[in-house]
Amino acid sequence: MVERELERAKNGDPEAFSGIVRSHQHRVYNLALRMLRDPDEAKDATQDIFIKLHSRLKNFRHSSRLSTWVYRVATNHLLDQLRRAKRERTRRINRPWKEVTHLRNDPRSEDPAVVVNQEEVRQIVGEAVDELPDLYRTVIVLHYQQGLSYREIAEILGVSPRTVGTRIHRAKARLRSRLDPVWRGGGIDGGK
Amino acid sequence: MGGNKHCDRLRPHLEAFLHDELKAEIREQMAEHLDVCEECRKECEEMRFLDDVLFSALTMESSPSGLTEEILRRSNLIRENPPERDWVRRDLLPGMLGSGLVSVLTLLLGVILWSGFLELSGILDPLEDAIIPWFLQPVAGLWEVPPDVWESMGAKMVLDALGPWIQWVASLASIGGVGLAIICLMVTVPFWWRTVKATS
Ligand SMILES: [Zn+2]
Repeated sequence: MVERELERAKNGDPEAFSGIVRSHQHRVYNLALRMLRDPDEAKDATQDIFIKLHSRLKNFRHSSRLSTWVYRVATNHLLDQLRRAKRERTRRINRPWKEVTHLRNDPRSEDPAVVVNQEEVRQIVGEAVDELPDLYRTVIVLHYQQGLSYREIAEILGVSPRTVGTRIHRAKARLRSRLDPVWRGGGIDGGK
Repeated sequence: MGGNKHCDRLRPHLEAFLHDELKAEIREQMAEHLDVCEECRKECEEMRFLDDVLFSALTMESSPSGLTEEILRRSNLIRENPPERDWVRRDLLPGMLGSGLVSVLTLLLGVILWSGFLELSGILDPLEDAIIPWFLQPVAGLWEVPPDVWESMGAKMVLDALGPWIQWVASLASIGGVGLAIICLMVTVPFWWRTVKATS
C-alpha cells in the first residue's frame, strides 16, 4: 500500500505526496528542532526538506525504505545548514550552563518531591545534548528521540553500525561528564 | 569480583549490551560477568540510567499547526510555476556546439565535393560563378586539373565514356545536395536527441 502511494507520488499525484508529508512531518520537524535549537528555523527547515524531497521524489529508488530516505535527506540538509551557519557565524545559541546548575536533587530518586523537577531535568539534559558536536548530536537524536536502531542510523548516515555505536558511546561519555556534577550529591547508587 | 582482565575486555561492549546489539556469545559472557563484578554492574546501571534520562528528555513535541498545509502549498506552487529554465543548459553547450559544428563542416564538405565534381565533369562550367559561392572559389580551384594532365592520365577518355552518366548525376545535383544535407543532419541526430531529452 505504501509502495503504491509512493508510485503515485512519484508520478506527481499531489494526494499521494500529501500522504507522505502527513506521515513524516512530525518526525522531521522534531529532528530539525533538536538539531537547530530554534522553532522558527526548524519550521522553515522542515518546509525546505519536504520541498527537496518533493523535487527528488522521482530519483527515489526502492533500495532503501522511504523513511530511511526521508531521514537521510533531512539529516544532510540539517547538517549542511549547521555547517553554513557556523561558517557565517550568524548566530550561536549558547545559554550559560550556570543558569541551570541550581538543580541539587538527584533525579534518580523516586521521592515525589524530586519528581516535580522532572521538567527541569528534561531541560538540563536537553541543553547538554544541544552542546554536543553536530555529529554526536545527530546520532543521539536519531536514537533517543526518533527511536531508530543502530542499523537504521547507519543506513541514514552512510556509515557502519559499529561507527554509530562508537559515536553514541562517545556522545554519552561527554554527556555524563557534563551531567554528573549536576546530580552529584545524592551519590551514584545505580538508580535505586 | 570478576577481575580487571574481564573488565577491560568487556567494558567496551557495555553500550551494545544495553542496546541489545551484542552477539549471543559475548552477551552471555557479559551477563555472567555483571553477576560477579560490582564495578561493571555499577557502570552498566549508570549507563542505563543515562539512557532512561535521554529517552525521557528527548521526547517529541507537537509540530506547529498548519505545517503540513504550508508544505503542500509550497510544493504545489512549484508544480504550477516551474522555475524558468535557461534557454540553453550550460552542461549541454559543448555537445550542442559540437554537433552544430559537425553539421556545418559536413555541409561545407558536401558543397565542396559537389562543386568539385561538377567542375570536373565540366558540365556546369558556364554556371560556375553562379553555383560556387565566392568564398569557395579558391578552394574549388583545387580541382581544376590542367587538360594535358588529364590527357596523359587517360582520364579524359574515361570521363568521356562516363559522360552521359555524369550528366544524369549532375542533373540530380540539387536533389543530391538535399540528400547530403539530410545525411549531415542524421549524423548529428544523437547529439540533438540527447540535448532534447536532457532539457525536457
Ligand atoms: Zn568488571
